[in-house]
Amino acid sequence: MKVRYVKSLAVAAAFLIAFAANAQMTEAELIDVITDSDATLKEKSDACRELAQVGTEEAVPALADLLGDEKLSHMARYALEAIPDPAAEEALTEALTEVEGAPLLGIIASAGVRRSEAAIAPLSELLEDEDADVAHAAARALGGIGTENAADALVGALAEAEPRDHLALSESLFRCAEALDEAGRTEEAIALYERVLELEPEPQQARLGALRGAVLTRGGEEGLARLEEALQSEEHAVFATAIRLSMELPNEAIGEMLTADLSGWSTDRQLLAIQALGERGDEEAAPALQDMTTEQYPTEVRVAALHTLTRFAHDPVLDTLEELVVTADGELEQTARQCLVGYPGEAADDAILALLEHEDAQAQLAGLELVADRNMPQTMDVLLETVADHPNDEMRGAAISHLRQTAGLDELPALLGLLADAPSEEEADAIESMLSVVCTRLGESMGGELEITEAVYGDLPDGDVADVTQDVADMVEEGALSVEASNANFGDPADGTVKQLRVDYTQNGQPGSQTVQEGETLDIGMAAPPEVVEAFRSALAQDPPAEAARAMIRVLGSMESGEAFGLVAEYIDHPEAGAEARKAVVRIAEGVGIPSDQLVPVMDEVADLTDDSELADRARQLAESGQ
Amino acid sequence: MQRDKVSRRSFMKSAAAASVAAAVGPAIVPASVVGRAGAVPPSDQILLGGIGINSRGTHDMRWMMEEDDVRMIAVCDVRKSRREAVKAEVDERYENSDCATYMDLREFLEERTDIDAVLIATGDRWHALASIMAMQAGKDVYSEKPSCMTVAEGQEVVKAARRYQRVYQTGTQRLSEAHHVFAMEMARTGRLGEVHTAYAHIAPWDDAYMTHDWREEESEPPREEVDWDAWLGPCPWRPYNSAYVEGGWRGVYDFHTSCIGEWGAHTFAQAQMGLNKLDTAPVEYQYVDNQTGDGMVCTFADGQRLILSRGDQYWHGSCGERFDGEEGWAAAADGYTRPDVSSPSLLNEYRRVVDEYQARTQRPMNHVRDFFDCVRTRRDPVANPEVMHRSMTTVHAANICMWLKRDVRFDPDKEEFVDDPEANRLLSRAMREPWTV
Repeated sequence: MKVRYVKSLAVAAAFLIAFAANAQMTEAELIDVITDSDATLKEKSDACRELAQVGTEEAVPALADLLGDEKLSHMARYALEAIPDPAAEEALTEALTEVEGAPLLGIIASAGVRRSEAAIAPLSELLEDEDADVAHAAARALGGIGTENAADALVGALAEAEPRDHLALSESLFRCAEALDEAGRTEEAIALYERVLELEPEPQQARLGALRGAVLTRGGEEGLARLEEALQSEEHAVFATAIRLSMELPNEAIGEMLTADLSGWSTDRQLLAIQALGERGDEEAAPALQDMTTEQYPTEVRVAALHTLTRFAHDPVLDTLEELVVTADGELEQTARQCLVGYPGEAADDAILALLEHEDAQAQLAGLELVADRNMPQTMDVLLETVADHPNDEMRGAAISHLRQTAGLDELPALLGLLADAPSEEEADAIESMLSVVCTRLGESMGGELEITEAVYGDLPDGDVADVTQDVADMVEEGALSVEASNANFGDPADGTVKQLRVDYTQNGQPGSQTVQEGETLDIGMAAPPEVVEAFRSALAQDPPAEAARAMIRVLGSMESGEAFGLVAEYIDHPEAGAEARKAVVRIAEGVGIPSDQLVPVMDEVADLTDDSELADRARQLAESGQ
Repeated sequence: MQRDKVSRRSFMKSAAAASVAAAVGPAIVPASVVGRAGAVPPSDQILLGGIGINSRGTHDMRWMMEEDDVRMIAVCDVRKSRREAVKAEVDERYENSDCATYMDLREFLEERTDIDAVLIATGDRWHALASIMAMQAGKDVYSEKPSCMTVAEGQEVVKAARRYQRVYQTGTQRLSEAHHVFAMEMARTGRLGEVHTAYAHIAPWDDAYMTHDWREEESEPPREEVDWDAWLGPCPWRPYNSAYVEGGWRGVYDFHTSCIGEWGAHTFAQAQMGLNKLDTAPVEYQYVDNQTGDGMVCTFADGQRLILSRGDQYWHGSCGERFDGEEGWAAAADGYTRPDVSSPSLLNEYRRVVDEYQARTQRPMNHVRDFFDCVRTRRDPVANPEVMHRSMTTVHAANICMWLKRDVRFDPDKEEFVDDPEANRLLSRAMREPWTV
């Protein structure tokens, strides 16, 4: 008693020391734990888990002693399964004849995992156990071992097996067959699959699995003959298995098999076969599939054939797709459109462009949508030309709509040109709106470069302040800043005062500065990229019609950009666009910090020039804030 | 009696629905994608059963019941409260009281030979075993993720699916979402130039090490209420505590695959799909000295890198992935109105990229629809067993790298660590009796 007490103290101490040092216990210490009758179940479980990592043959006897323990048998196996030493296998094999009850099931499973040849004999005996769970576990373990001897034991058991045993035995024979096939024992493997096929009554899933195994393992002509037979089966499950098998086997002859009977099969089977042909890449089936896109077939079959032909990039289908876009509706039309947009290669480009020349206006509209969706090399040119020249209002409107979603910097000069040449006020409005969206998108995606040069928070201008430049710089995301002036963000450098945050920065190289009160949010939006403003500068320099110039200035006025401010300021005394420019510079200056040396003279001039008293007040306020 | 019940109006419907999705462009994927037009005759319905349907499972189940050709008819759960809740919801939907309930999985699988497919959402510890048992019973399987606890379990899922010709889909639904597909395809098709790096999001909670501690023992409820032994399944025994069955199993070594598995099950598959590496796994894993694996660099045999990231510097949502190529980058995550790209012009490719993907793969932008289409056509879904196994192998190897606190090298062909018996001992775990694969 005294000795045990001392030992358990030592175990406890070892645990504590290992815990304190965050280190693993040694194998000897772990063995001490699992052999200590005073160690808790948790301690022993943990020790077993550790032994799974570090255990050697030294730990095997102690672990083997736990195999019959209902509470610890699993954890003993947890370790033994992982210990590579053959002693672990021997211990498990020995336990097969010594342990009973629930732990035996686990030991059987572990013997299978370890693939112990020595375990075959005791496992074979357990195949005949009255307890079905034991017998089934033994079967699975023998399947795991997978040798010829294991297979012999299983086949022998089949003769006496009851229907309830068939599934477990089939699974085990599949495992054996796979192992034997991998070892080059093809004939033996095939024999096992055939044996499962003879089961009466057979579990359907086992029979189908055996069919698969028999076909794949045989391969060659014999395997194909078996597959062909299955494809002719009246039974759908067998046919479906054959279809799945056809997708596992690369053999070209299978494509011919599937195609030969295709038109004669039921719609259900046609659908499966068409899908399989596509999955297999049987392009030789294309002519047969092309035939199935015609009206004599049900819609679902036509749809399946169209998809598969598109997958093959079978160019003759392009005419069909083009025609269906024009003439069909519902599922067929949608399929045709999707196939044209996703069609591999360039051949579909011509088919889509041809729709633009179609006599039917709706076909042209469909073509335009497809041009936009497919994003071909010609897409932007087509859209721009359509807006510029197409006689149909609806087409021009659709093209504007597509450009709104897709136009980029490269298209900007042309878009500005379209604005200048807009045939109607309504269309000019649409183009102006589109330009605003495009410019906003360009601003968001290209971003401006925002660099924080100095940021201070505190009792501005002369009281206590904290330099928060780095804090603010860290808050810049994608060329923009949004930060609340608060003690939470910057601490409290001037207790008892209402503080301010001042941020000096450059955006695209242009200096700026903003100041907000405590509790307010300071926002520096993403600046328009300089290239965007330059495009507007060029367009305005070409002396566009007055309304177009005003529209361009309005768009510039929606940008938070020092460059835009500078450009628009050049027009504040323009005879036709001046009023718009004066509004725009005030709007820009209210949204973004403009350096006072630029801001003040412009605002003073706006206040002098404008007839709008409200605008003049705003300009004066901005000028005063700049001073 | 054999049923010839393949619906003649089934799988190609989804392609049409998908075209509606793509037509919308990058902003929105409409709800119309989810459903199919028209009704499916009852005789053509796919009969569905549920196993372990809690919160995530309920989401999946509702999603599946939206499909007109699917009918949920039974639920199996070790918790009475969940059995009853699921039955109530199913019965309410169908306005009857037909949904059958089962407590014992073996009994459920043996008795319900009429069920075609099962939804499994038990939690990590049971996903693989339940999937294997269901496939051996002849069912097709949609399993939530992470779908296996070890590399060995993943191998067995693959084998079972092949042996029994089963359709198996793991619940990595972002593989069927247009924004993610766009990002993955931009990388895979070379539109970003040569892609050198993919980033994959790991869960920003829990850690890689997890706990071995046992919660304080509570008195075990009657088996009818909670079958604790069955809940534990193949995992080591521990005393009952209600927190485990209420979701408190996450972060526990025996039950969970860590913060890496929690989201890596999704994002590694996304990254590997974009890198065109769904048939392999990284060969090198660089240990990072933190608790989570954040920043771990996993390198494939050809030098492409997969970098684990816990933060949001590469995306602004959950479960994100990003691909960096020589000519640009693309990223996607949950909640996006459009994918992130290095240049806006790349987004002009959106519709074409997604439609090309669909033309090539014939897959709808709807993960459960893809599964049900494949149940009918017998081809493999997008997140098939190999995809699950390979991406989860990356998860397991990254976890093992963290647990050993050192770099490890992995051979994807042999599916073992290279000259590393210590790491190889972690490729499998003995299952508690009576459970076995």
